[in-house]
Amino acid sequence: MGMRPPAIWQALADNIVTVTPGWSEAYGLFLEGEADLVLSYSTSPAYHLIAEEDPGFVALEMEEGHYLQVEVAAKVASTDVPDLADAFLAFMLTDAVQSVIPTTNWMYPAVTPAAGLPEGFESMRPAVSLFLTPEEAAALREPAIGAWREALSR
Amino acid sequence: MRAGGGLGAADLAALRFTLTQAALSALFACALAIPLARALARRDFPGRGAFVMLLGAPFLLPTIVAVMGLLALFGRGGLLNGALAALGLPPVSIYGLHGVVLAHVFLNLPLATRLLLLGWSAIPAERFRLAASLGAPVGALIERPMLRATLPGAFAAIFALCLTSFAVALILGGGPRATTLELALYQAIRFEADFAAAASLALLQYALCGAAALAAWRLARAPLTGAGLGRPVERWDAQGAGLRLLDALIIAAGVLFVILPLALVLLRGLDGLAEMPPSVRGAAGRSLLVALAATAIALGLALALALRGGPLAEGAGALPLAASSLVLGTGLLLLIRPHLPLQAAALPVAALLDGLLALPFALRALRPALREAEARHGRLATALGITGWRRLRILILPLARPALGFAGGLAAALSAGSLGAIALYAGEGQATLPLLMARLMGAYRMEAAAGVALLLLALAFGLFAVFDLWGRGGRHARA
Repeated sequence: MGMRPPAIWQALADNIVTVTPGWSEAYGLFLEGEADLVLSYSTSPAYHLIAEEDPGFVALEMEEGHYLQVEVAAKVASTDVPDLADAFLAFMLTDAVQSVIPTTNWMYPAVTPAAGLPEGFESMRPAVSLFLTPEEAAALREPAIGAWREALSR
Repeated sequence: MRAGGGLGAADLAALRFTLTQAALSALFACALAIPLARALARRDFPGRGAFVMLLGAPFLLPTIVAVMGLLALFGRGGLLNGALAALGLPPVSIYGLHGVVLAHVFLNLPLATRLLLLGWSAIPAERFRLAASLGAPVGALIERPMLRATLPGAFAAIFALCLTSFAVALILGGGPRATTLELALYQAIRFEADFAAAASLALLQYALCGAAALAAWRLARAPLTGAGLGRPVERWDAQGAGLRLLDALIIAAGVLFVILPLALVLLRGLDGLAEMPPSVRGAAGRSLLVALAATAIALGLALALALRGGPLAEGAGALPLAASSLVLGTGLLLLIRPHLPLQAAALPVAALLDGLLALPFALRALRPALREAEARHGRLATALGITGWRRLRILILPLARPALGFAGGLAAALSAGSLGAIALYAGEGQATLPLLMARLMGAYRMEAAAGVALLLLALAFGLFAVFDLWGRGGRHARA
């Protein structure tokens, strides 16, 4: 690992243009040329490549790995239409749905479609994906955000 | 750090930053508004009416649109730094306390100017004529007392607005070192679901804004009670060439400062108009409906409170200024959830919330006008036995028409431009324009979002213009 997070953040602090309330404001600023790098998804370059035919974006590879953001569809335990919920979840896993996920939600599908992934999704897929259990994440969250705030507040 | 809802070191730092930026922003906005409002009050020039109306625009912009407009001018890739680079000069950074203050002045200078301008135009022309015939100093005798009565209210309103700002403060402040109380609140509610911490932060914010309102109330001198007639103001005291040039320069600087970022927003949006999704029509219709309902709520409440008068009504009217829309929205959500499906309540609740949030501005604009109407004609009306509804209909409302138009326009446009609570409840097919814009930005579609922003600006400004023109039409008809 080398440097500990507080030291890393402190070293980075004077290179950080700004922090925004959410992803979309930051990405908007990035596209307006306010910053050369933005914290985003490794699938962002694929959006520009496919939707805008612009190959000028790359995702940087971090050797420690990239954290996964997972979006889910789920059946509520108290549902009064369990069969319908099961049918819907099964439908979500069909090739027809999974194959449109990459170019509509701009994320990786849960099941790789038979025809494979569109251009840009494999070429910039991070080598190491990180994923913590909810308990591990909850235990790490406060000290991690605290260290970040502390370093960037100076 | 947050155990038991107490305030930690980070929260105290947020408190310090919140107070500093709000005080500086209100100070600069008010200080710059004095020469601008005075120049506008005593000069007539082609396009004056249009500029006075345009002064409403920055205040009505959704924050992120205003920030984008400012960055297109002052940002790293903006026009200013482009010009500096062409001259071989080092770039200037907008990120920091100065950037936050600059943005807040851009957003609030127009509001301060309009409020002071209302104060100036409430001075009866007879006073200037009398001062001129006596050779008396207009500044010390007429203008300064008016400013003493108007400025504290304007300062407090802007101070309170800046207290609850967080997107501007965070983005232009350059990150966590620019944390405001509102941001800490947002963090506590949205990410940590820590309602104890949120409640103590919200109480602290209420206390601050309450103190600001109290200070303004005590600072304000006796209200204006001139008994002149409402004629256009002719001025004998400001005819020199030097003063004319000075006013021309001040107005030109004001026009540039307000119009350039707006023009850049406009340019960005033109390309995006064709990219807008079909759902934009429904969203525009819903925005319009919510805005009109919010206007009715704000004007009705403001009129009732202004007519009742007294510190209690004033305090009640100023309260929403201290409220975070996030806290109000979350509170309403918790109240409604047991009784109504949230989606059915989304639009009415948005209108109610927007109306409440616009109330302080509506009240601030209406109160002096009602007071003036009563002071001028109240005794006569009472002597003639004109009371109750009849007094309101034939005396007060016609005289307060310019203020009513301004207040209505402000409420409608503020509502049209606010993302507000709708983001917390709205389902599919219930989006208003600001929510549609946020969703497009969240889906990489920045061009389409800029197009929606332009449409939103047009709607908010159109609403403001219609109400304001109606109000000012009344005055011209009488003159």
